[in-house]
Amino acid sequence: MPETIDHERGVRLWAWILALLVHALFVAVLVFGVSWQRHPEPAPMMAELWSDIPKPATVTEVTPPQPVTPEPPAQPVPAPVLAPPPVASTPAPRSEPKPVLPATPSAADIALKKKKEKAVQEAKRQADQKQREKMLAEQLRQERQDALKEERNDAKMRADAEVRHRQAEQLAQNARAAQAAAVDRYKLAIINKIRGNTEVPEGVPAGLTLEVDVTILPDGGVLEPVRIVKSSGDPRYDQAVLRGILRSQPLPLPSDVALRQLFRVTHLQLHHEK
Amino acid sequence: MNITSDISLVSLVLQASILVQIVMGLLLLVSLLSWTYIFTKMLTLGKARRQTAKFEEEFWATSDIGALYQRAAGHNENSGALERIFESGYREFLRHRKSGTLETAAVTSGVQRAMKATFQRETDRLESHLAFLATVGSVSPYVGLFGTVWGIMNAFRGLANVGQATLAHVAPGIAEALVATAMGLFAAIPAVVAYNRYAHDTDRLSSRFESFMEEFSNILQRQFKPAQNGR
Repeated sequence: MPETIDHERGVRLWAWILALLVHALFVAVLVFGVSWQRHPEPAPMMAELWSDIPKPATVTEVTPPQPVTPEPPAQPVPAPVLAPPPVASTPAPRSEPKPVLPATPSAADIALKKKKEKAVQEAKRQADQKQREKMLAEQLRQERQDALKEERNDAKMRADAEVRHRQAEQLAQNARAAQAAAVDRYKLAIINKIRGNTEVPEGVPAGLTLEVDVTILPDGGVLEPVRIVKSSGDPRYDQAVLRGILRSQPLPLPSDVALRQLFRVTHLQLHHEK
Repeated sequence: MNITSDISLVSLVLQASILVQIVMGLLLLVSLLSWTYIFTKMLTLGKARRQTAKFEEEFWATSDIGALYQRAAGHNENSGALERIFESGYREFLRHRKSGTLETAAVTSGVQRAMKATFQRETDRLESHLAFLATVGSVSPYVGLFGTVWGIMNAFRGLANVGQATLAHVAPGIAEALVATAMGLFAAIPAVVAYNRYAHDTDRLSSRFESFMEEFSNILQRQFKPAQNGR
């Protein structure tokens, strides 16, 4: 028997080491496995932030079309101020060369040679002057052309800006129209739902109109008390409608957050017909 | 990350109630022991199988059984189970020869008894700790379950003190309780697998020993007859 114990002893050390290894491995796997579960935790935080951000974002989206359009016209405005100076300078050089020409012939009259020489010199001068004039004329032409180009560019810019402005205005108008249409649609839906839930007691005359300001919570709930802006004159009808409003919670609201904001305080007109 | 996480393994274990902690400690100890035995048995059974195969090969290849006995008696350290069975049987046979017993039946039965005794000792050695593995495999899931039930009970009792019941109140308690079950299963599954495997291995080895014993006693019986005739 002592032999057998000896036989196992050599093995037992290895067995212990291997067993500890296995457990260390298992613990490591568990720790890493749990660490994976930690990552999803920040994700829901992100989602909460997302639900908050859209509200201001959409508000700015509605307004931008108006501020964006004034910017382009602001650039072309200084351009026309720069353009006039070249136009004003063009007449000045024209008047200068003409008085120079009559002044030179009046000085020469003594001798033919001198005249000839002078004539030659004058011819040279005239040639030079003509060249200068040509140069000036070319410069003027170029300046004019440049000015014209600038003007054209300015005109183009202005036209583009106007087009953009119009487009933006159209877009804004379209958006406003669409928004107004959507608001009207949902208002109608709200009124219809309230009508469906309102039980008007008998004896209430037809043709009554009740105006009411309803504060609607984002989930379609109604914040009490509902404010009566203009009573119909018949308290029975008023009470019936108020009860109907409370009964028709949740009120139908647009899924768009920006649109829904317009329904925070909704003005409703309820007309009684028989 | 590690500090802020509420569901880290370490914090789960440390925040558990004392009873659950005791259960988890017990299960860890049991798991460690069972794994130690698993590796011990794996190494010893593998060695036994190799030694048995080697000795059988040598036994059937040799013509001089006496020389084999001398070698087997010489190095007890490295001898395998089958070698020891052979040695005890042959020693008994030699004793009978020296004392001059003439009856074949008496010699054969004496040799078989001696070999049977060694065989039982050897199989007992091979089967050692297998009972422990079986116990771990069958009991540790229940121990883990007990820890889990206790932990969940505590979690719900804690819930009763809170006015508003949210998942956040119960979740840590349940998670810590489930760690106990996980540990129980971690201890049990390898133990059960190892028990079945090693029980099968020891069965095969002992049947090999038994068939060798029968064959060897036959050989000795044949050897005894010429010796009887010589006298």
